[in-house]
Amino acid sequence: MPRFRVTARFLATIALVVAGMAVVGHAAGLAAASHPIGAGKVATPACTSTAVTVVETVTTTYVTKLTLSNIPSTCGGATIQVTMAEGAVNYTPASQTVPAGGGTVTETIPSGDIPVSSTAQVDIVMEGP
Amino acid sequence: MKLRYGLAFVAAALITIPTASAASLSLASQNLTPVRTCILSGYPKADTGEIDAMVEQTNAGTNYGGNAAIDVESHTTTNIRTYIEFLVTGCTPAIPSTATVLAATLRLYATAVPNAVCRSEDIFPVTATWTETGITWTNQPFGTTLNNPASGYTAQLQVGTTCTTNKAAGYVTGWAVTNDVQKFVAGSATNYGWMIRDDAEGAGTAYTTAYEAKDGSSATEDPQLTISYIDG
Repeated sequence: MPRFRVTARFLATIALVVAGMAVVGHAAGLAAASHPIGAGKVATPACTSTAVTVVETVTTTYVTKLTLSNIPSTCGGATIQVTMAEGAVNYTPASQTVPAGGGTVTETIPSGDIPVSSTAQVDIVMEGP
Repeated sequence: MKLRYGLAFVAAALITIPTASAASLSLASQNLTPVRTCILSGYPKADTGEIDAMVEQTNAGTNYGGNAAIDVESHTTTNIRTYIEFLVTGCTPAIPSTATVLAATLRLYATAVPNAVCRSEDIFPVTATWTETGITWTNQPFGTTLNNPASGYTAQLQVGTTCTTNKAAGYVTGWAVTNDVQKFVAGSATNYGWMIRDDAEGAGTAYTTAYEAKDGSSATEDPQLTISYIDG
């Protein structure tokens, strides 16, 4: 029994030492790789590097529709979020899902919400697929 | 005793959990595709962010800066060209000089297209200053010689009733002016706008495309320049 007690304590001590070494080794590995978390610069992958065609449909004084076309199939299934600034008026339609084969996404603007301006900014972010 | 023995390994296991967690951060990344688009239009009429004017050979000294139409015509002695310029710096937010322009398209609304033919219309970057209220056929930057410049257009558009596209009234598919706008944004070329002319001026039959100018009737038919880019 005493022999077993010594063995158990010994094993427990070894386990803790090994665990401690593992942590030390892990930390050293992070520094040695010169890529500490938050300091590295990694390119975020994108589903396309080409432009999405954006066309505004307007009535005499208001924007009524935003058509986003030529979305490649590689973006099929992505969540697309549009933010629109027409002059000083901002509008964010609900996000949509790009059709499986890519193609066109249409954002209908509620009547009377967005007056036509000389400049419009349309920001698109596709997340995924 | 068994408890002590077990605690040691539980502690070891807990200590190594962060290693697995950190590794999973990179594996969990997914596509994120941001694209910004600036749309410049000729609306409202009083806005100076877009200027346009046609110049007409038969009335060589007349300025058409306030005209409702900007035409492109090929005919023996009645050729017509259109000059148009958008203030690219008018985008809000401003396009950074380091931005990569993915696509820039100039779209005009055709109210009439050439009949029974498919004509090619070329767009050239203008290399000298001009004003909406001063330009005429006589003083235009490209001079009065027909089919000048002879080459080097940025883009070409087919228009006419026998074409595959752009064969009826409506917005034409547009001229791809991406390379020009990239230079304007980067500052490697000065933005004096563009000149659009028929690819073969001086035709024996009159071929005319009538486009809506910013001084036309409605915002639904105004000239547009759409610029899609990613921040540099």
